[in-house]
Amino acid sequence: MMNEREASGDISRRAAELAVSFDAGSLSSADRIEAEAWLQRDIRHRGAFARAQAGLIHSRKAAAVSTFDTDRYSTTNDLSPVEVSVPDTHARIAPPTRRRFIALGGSAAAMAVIGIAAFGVTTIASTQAYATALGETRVIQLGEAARMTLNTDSRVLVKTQGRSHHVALEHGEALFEVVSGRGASVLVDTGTSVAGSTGGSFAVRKTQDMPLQVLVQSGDVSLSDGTTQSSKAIHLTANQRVIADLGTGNIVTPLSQDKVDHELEWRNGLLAFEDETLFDAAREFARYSSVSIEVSDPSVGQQTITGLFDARDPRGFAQSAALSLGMRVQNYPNAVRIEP
Amino acid sequence: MSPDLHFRNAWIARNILPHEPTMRRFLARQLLPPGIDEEDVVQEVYGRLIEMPSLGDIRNPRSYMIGLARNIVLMHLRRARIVAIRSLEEMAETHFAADDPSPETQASDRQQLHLLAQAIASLDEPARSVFLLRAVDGLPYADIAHRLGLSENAVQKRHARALEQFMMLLGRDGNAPAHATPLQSQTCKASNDERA
Repeated sequence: MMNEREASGDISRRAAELAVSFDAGSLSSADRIEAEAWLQRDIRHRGAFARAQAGLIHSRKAAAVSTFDTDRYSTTNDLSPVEVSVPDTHARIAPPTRRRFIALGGSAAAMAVIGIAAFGVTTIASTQAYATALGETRVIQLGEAARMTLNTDSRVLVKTQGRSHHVALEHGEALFEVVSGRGASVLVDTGTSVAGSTGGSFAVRKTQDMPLQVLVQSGDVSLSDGTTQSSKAIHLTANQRVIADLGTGNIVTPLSQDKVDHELEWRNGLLAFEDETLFDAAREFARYSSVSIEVSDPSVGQQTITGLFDARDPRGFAQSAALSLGMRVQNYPNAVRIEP
Repeated sequence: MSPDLHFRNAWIARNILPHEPTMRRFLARQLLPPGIDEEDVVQEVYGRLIEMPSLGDIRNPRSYMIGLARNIVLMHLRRARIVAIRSLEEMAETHFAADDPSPETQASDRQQLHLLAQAIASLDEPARSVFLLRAVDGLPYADIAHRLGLSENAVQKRHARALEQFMMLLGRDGNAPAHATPLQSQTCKASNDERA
């Protein structure tokens, strides 16, 4: 051990390097053990590392700055977003699953002894229920090759047998990511439909305010009718959305890459709107917070808004919306109202 | 990464990072014992924070951070046996200056994006390119390496440097630190060897 106190700048540097390596999934088992030991040595190491990881997550919100047309954001104050030049983005490539799955390898026992769950894998019982509160997001690892991200106010029941995961979605919304070629499968049963994949990323939404929705970000997903048990299944690929309408049946719509990304911003705690009416935006916000957004009359509710907003800050949204629409807000204990 | 850890990190990104500048302004007004700088305290605050079993219980993250910072400074002062009674008394009476934002005001979503964009714009090249290709386009390091004509290793190193700089700017509301680059020991190389 060193005698003199390690300089904080060195710690920040090492922490940033570690956060990047971790995110890249480029650590060998020897590296991981060394990193684990480094983290354990000093509370500042752990702190700097958590901070750097948070910084990486925060940096991804940069996508919001370059995605939105700054002209639409014109306001009377000078807080218009700065246009950041992103090099070489002529073809917007579909981002692969951003966070890599890190297969643990033999050092799991050693880490249990050390006691820091930096690289722990949550083992799940064969049947397990998961639920999220209002405004909560939760990531649950399903074995080593699949992951489920629960959105606000959701509840699921997961039954795992080997590498097959059967998820009963009782209500809410979740994103499922399955690494292909690992023999893993995820089947999501909503009661009326079953969506499944052995390699792909897809989100399922079952909420009271709209018909069932399946959104495919990448890979291959099959969707079948859960009630009639008919063998007819629809095959879905990247950037497709299905809305299961009882009247007209399943409607498959192709979406732009941007639109798909917007639909999944909730993973970052954000809501993306593009020419969304205040009514619809308010309804969406209601899923994340008990503070409701109200409009004084229907004509206000029909006004549209575009932007990226913190899902758990309805008052902030109302303020922003009012600002850009030339309106004002009135705050109440459990609501915020937008009026001319 | 364990799912709980990812959620924790995302929570920190959303609820703690925006208050770091305020915490640093608080620390700038405190007397610190020799050998402890602002960065040390900040790192220790995060370290303490993640020891909490449930972050979601923290009602007011901003106050909590300042409180943690204050306690850590007091602890170090006591340990260093600095009998500067005055400084301890001053610490006890610290209240927030009038120019600090009130507890209820948190930077709006748009303001935060603005700060973020500014921090990125302040990065030098090629660090900024690497940073954006990774953060915005989510390109794998192999692809970035190919584009920029660098090895994957070099790209990761640049990304790490860029992240470090980005964090520094974010933590200080876009201002570079008053003194030169953060303290880096002269024996850096020696310590790396020791660690092996």
